[in-house]
Amino acid sequence: MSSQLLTRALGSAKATLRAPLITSIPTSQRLFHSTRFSLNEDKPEGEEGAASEESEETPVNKKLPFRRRNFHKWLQGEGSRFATPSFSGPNYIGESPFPMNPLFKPTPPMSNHAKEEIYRLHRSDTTKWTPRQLGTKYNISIKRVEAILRLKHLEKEMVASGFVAQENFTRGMEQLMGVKNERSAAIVEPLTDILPQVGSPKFEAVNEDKTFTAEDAANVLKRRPLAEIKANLLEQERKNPFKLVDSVKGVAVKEESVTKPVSKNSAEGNARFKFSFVDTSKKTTLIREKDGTLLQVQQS
Amino acid sequence: MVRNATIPAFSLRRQMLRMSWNKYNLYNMTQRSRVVNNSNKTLYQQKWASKKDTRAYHGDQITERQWQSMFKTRLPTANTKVGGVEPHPPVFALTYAEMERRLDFIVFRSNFAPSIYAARQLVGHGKVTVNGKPMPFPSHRVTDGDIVTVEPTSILTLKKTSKSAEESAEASSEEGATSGHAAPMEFVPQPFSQPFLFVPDYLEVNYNTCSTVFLRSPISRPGKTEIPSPFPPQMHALAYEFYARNRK
Repeated sequence: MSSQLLTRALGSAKATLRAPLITSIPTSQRLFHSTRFSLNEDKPEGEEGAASEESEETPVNKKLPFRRRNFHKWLQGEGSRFATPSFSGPNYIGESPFPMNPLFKPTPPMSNHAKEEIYRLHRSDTTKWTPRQLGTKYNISIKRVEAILRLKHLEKEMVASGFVAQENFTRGMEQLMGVKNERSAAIVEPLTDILPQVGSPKFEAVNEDKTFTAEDAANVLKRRPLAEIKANLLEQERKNPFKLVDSVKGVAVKEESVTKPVSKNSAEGNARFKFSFVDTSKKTTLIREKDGTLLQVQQS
Repeated sequence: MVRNATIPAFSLRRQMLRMSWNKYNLYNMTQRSRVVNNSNKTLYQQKWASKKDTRAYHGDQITERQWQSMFKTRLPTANTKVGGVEPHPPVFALTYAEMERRLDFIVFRSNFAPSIYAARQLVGHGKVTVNGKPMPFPSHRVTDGDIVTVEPTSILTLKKTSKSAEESAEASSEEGATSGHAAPMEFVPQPFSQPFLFVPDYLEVNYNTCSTVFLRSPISRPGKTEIPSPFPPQMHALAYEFYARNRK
């Protein structure tokens, strides 16, 4: 025999509890004349409510399980400060967002204003305001500067093509996460992260009077010295400076490679294919067009 | 949704912590404020308890089999005891670093969705692009420097204002009308969501375009952990031990 209960929303005046309204059926027999609630649909609710409360005493007095009661107590007490967001700064549970893990301390991200400045500086003078220079100025990593520049560039392109910049979203999130315009309050990180794979310790016997430099240590460990790695990084940055790539709807536009014609032989032409020959040792690329023209790729 | 559906997601009895802005989840988090002392349990029991709790949060919607193939025993090591530097937390805090490369994780960590399950749905429904190309695969492993973009209309905390709806209607009715004069959408934060609003250090988010760049893998840093987790590194260490030994 199923006995379902008619309950009204209990407790919370804030109506955070959504208890389902279930109609009641007399337990003995379900007869047409006794299913009065369906008949009395047009009658005012007060009458119906009074009648139901009279007949069903125990369901109304029946309490929620104690866990749910505690939850609602918390909701009205300590938990009420989380119900509405505070636009003056972060609203974590305690000092850190996770009480069991105090080691996770999130830093608020950089402000949109600072990011606009970074983009403006880079666009004003690309050779002077390189990602490394900007990273030094704003105390953030080179990868983050590059990411900021690419995202801002994408934003300008999207806005130019009709996209609406979600400024309310940015402003709201900055307020809720406690983003401040002061540079010291934002994320601070080293320019680059050179992480060696630290394995098991190695022991090397060295004569007392002999000097043992970092280069000697690198030799023993069979790695490149740190100074060499750093110099290599700088060399790479000089050879391939960071360039903002234009994109169409976020998909990067591929640059046309600069080619130089070498010769033309119509006999070598082919109606179907255009061939490309890559010499991996000399790092040169030759292209044989369909009409027989041989091109050498200068720079891609 | 591929998760253990026999246990309710936000059970008040089990109090499993999830990647969600749900108010029951927030309540469970406030109640579970102290790490339980398991030292009188056997080692396996300790490893199992840690694995159960951490996996309920990290990749609840990923099957064990999928996770076993994703899991890497080799953690990025760091010189944690070099003199003069603040000590790094135990490197085991990076046990679940591989999961943070997934597309649904990135969408959730950037605060575009109210839960990891909602983020998974967003990705599956094709609302997310990677470097401009649509990518409806929640398990897609993002490479360093990829730009992940979410459609603003599919973000829960952004609501269309009546003003912008009017303007867009006007624009569409006029011939050759220029777009881009519509107002930005209204930001309506979810109740009980603010305690969860933060951005990890390995992401760079632009809320104007609803885009994120995945900078790098989470690494070991002095004094703090990069991966947002409600559990301390000691529990991650036990979970790591469980998975490192249990590789079939």
